[in-house]
Amino acid sequence: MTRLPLRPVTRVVKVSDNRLPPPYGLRLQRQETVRFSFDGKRFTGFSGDTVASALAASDQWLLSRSFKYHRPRGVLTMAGQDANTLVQLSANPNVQADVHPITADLQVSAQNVSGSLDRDRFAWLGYLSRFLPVAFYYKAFFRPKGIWQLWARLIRKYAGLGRIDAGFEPDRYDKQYCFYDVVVVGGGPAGLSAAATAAAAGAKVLLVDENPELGGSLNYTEFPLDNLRCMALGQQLIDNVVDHALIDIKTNAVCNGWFADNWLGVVGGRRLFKVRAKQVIMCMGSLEQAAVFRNNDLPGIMMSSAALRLIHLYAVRPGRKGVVLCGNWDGYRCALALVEAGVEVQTLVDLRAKPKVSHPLLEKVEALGIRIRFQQFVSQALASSQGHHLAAVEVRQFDSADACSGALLGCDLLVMAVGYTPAYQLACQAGALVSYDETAETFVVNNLPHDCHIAGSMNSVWKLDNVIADGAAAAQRALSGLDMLRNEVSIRAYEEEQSPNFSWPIFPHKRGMEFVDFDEDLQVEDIINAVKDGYEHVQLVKRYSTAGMGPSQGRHSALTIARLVATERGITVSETGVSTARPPYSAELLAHSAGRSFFPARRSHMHYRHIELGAQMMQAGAWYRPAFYGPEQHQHTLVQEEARNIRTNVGIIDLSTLGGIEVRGVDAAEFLNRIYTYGFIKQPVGKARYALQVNEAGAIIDDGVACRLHRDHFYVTATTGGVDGVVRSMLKWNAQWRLSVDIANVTSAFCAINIAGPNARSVLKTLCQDVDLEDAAFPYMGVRQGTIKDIGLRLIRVGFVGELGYELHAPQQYGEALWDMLMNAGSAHGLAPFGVEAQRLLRLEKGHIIVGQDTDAMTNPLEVQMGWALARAKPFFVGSRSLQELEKSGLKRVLAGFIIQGQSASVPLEGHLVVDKGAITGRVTSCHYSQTLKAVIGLAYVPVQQGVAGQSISIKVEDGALVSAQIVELPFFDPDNLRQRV
Amino acid sequence: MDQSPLTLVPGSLLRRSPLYRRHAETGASFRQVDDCAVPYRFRSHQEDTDMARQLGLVDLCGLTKVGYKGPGASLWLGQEGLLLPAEPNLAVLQPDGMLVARLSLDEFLVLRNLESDSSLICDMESAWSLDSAVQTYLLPRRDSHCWLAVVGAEARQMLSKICAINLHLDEFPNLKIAQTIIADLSVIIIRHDLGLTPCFYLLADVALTEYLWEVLQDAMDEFAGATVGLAALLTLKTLLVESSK
Repeated sequence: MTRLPLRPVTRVVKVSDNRLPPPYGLRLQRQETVRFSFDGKRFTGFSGDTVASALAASDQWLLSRSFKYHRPRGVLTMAGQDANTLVQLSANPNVQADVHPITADLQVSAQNVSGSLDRDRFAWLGYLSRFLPVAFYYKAFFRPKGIWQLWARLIRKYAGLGRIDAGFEPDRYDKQYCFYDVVVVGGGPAGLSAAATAAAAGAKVLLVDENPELGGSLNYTEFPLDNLRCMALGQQLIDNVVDHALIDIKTNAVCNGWFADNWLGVVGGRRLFKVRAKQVIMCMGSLEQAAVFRNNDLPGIMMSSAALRLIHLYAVRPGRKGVVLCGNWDGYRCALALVEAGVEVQTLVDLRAKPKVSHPLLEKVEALGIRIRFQQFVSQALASSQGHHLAAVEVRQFDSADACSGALLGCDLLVMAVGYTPAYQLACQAGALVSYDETAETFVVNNLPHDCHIAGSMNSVWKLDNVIADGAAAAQRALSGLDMLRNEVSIRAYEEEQSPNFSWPIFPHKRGMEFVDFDEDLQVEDIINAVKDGYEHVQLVKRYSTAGMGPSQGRHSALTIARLVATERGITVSETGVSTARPPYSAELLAHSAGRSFFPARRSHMHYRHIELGAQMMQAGAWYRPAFYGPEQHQHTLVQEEARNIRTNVGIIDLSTLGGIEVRGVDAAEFLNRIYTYGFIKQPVGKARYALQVNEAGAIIDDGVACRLHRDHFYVTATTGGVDGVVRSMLKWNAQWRLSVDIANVTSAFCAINIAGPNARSVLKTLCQDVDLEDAAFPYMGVRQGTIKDIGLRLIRVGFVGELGYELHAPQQYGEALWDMLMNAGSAHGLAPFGVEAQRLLRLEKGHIIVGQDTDAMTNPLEVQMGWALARAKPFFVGSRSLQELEKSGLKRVLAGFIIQGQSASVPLEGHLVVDKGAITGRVTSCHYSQTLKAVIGLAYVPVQQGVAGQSISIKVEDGALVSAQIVELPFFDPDNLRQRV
Repeated sequence: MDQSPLTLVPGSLLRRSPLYRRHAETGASFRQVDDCAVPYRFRSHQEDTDMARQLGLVDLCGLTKVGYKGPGASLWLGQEGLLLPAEPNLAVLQPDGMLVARLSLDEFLVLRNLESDSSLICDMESAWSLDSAVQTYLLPRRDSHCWLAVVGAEARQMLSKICAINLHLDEFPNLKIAQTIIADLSVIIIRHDLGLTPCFYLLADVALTEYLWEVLQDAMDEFAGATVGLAALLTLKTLLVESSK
């Protein structure tokens, strides 16, 4: 249950250390202490603390070292918006310490550190900054020639942040799809108001907030209202949405990207929510900006909002002796809060002139004895003796001619309250434009698409009452888009106090180190020099200088950069603009995008029978198939034995992966006649024909057999990996031809088993009694329909392995039973299963090609000696015209059979090159040792003149040796094909 | 439906669900439906039913189903006495509880009812031939597609983890069909509530049955869903009658 905090009453709290007493610490469960370590030292915090807040409570302010100069860095925003707090966890680098909660025994260490965090060996790099100007990497490292190799080694050693644990065990991440009428991004006062208004009208609402609790800035910011009224308003807003039937709330979730049609990526926990919204209301607030002065990056210098978050959310006193630098009234409110929290605030430096009419806040601050220095600025910050923390600030008068007139104020805390930019990133992803209001000195978001709306401080509305009204108004616009609004959309102008943005909180120093972009250690001079180097456009400044390319993505630098570029170029900030904002809004893990890993592996119905028989399974396309049966280390012997059993006895192989296509209709024969190269018009019912498919260019794309089961019905097989493409091409062609034919991919509907070998008929006879299996009644390439027990079968007599064989095609869910019956029936004959490897060897002995292995994208039938499969007399088939032209122009290569005598010969592998006098002339496509032939046999593409039987070719094998092979006629085995016709 | 004792060994029948091993390993009791052993119960009937009310996954692969397509399919099916959906992606419940789903203008899927017999489907299959059914082509859907059911109050929420279609009960009414992708797999989703309990039938390539089953189990984990038997679905249907009264 999300609760608004009980805000502290106005009183000065005496504290002995940095931890403040209740009711400070909205997020803390003080009854539960948590021990963790940072850089090897033990620390204790409360449950609900972040790493940074727990460390701060123990006075550990130094968290990291900067990317380029290894400068000490600490808390800046306490909102996960900057790179200062990136730390290393044992398995994860680049974790934001200011938002990452501590857990028991969490091991945290500093990253990008050479030596130790306290004594970084590279801390001296800052002194070399004048030799490392903007984009120095474009200007260095390449002279003299070849020097880059040396630099590269050094840079790669020290570049990058953090360490990846390559041995980590991945966690489970997943995704979820959600659909809403209205998605409200941001659970602050504007978002709460918008969500409640939309839901009240009946809209289904998702409210997303990155924080653990709702309320947003109500939980820590000092609004210009009395605290009690602020509390009551906030609680009312939260009560309106919590437990509302039409509002789903996701806290600790970040809307990280807007995509077309209001598709939002919301990251929460270990899940990416893919949210589709009819209307989006962005109430993402605004991001406080840093003042730019020398050493503005020292630990102890932070945004006023960071100080307030530390106080109210984590009960941490942000310092002992503080100075406030401000250009708005928020600085005064922060000063009051600091005093309440026990910080000794001696000075408030107000960049503005003293107001002519006194302001209540001014009077309150003065009443506490805080000295206000109007029209002054912090010219530089000075570090403690160790250089790790703020020790003093130098304050100067604007327009002071006296270079030595600065006042030195000792302090360990400087809070900056000089202005904001709207959190425009998500809106820009949706197509919004960012312009600059020269009067209010602030970016404004406009030109939103019709189904996206903004409200609250993101819409430059600041007063709490106005913010709440603005949220409701945005909801009304969204409801109007949904046709759910009963009344007209009310348009009203809000009365606001002076803009919180100071016009120019940038104070260059002659000794530099006034950081504009903390991520990349970019100083004022770097931005100016980028423009001077000719990179005038803000997009080019970004790419040249890397400003805005670090982890914080320009959240705290875009405004300053725009102001500096505008001034340098003599144009307005509006004309300068900002660089493109792309998803993700904040860092997200690759695991979120990956989600669950899916591999849709297809299994035949006999899969577990293969496993039980000890098969080594291999992937064939999307299928698992048995490669061979038995221990992996005996592959060669087992494959040869499986092949021998087929040549001498009988075996079965699971062919369920074979593609199956039903082609039915009165034009079925005409259709196949056009799709395949062979003739099918006169094919008798009960016969099968080889079906070779080429594309328009005449290149082979698939093969199989077409079985005619009825005048208007063909059952066509296709290759395991090619069937989907074949069906697609059939559908495509018939969309043009409009033949009366139906095409159905029935691959999965049928299991298939090939029983092959001299004893195949004997085994099958014992099971299949309703089909005469004798050669006279059921000859080679015959097709019959019969049964085994009650299982309906399509029997095809084919001979891919060159032996008497029958393919049995049956309804898929009978596959296992059919396999069992064949195994049982064949046991008396020594029937054994064989796998893909033995099948490949057996078909190679017969010189049969495998499409995809022995063919490539250019292979035509003439090259693979399959001119016999072309029905040249046909008026048309796909690719016929191309093949005619290819035949006329002559062949440049052929797929030829080669043989290497002897068992001990090196066996070339697929892809090994055929060379002739040092030149590559071809390649091996298949090769295997044949026990039957007592030789190594293979297929290779060779030049036509080399592909003549009796020629010798040289094959370059794995170790670079040349192996001599002899070209022979195909097939290698049983040239008259007698064995398959018995 | 057969009321024989639940001692059937699924491997004793010729037709087997691709998932029967898993069911046997998790202690399922089977009952013969048509010519296949269907997991009937995984725990006590009450426990199975309670689970199904919350979130259950059911293997219906063994049940009869058939497809017809072609320009003449609607005419032929009409002549066979079936009520046909007026437009694609809708299903119509037949008087005997059979479900006819229209997948496109010219393609239909016929699913048997859960409790009685499948004789009507078998009769239709027997009556069909290329010569008798003009431009109507039978599709072997019983073997080409698995048939799973995701049932229970959490079914939609669970499916939202893996399916990009909005299956919210208001947006995806009973007997609505979605032909979509789940975990990189083409799936036909048919909402067919059992009484007051939401139920989604999932039909996909039978060679990927185990893959889809594992994906669904993985997605169910966070809702403490479990595999349940056909008996639970039959009970939920009965509750419909009672609640209707």
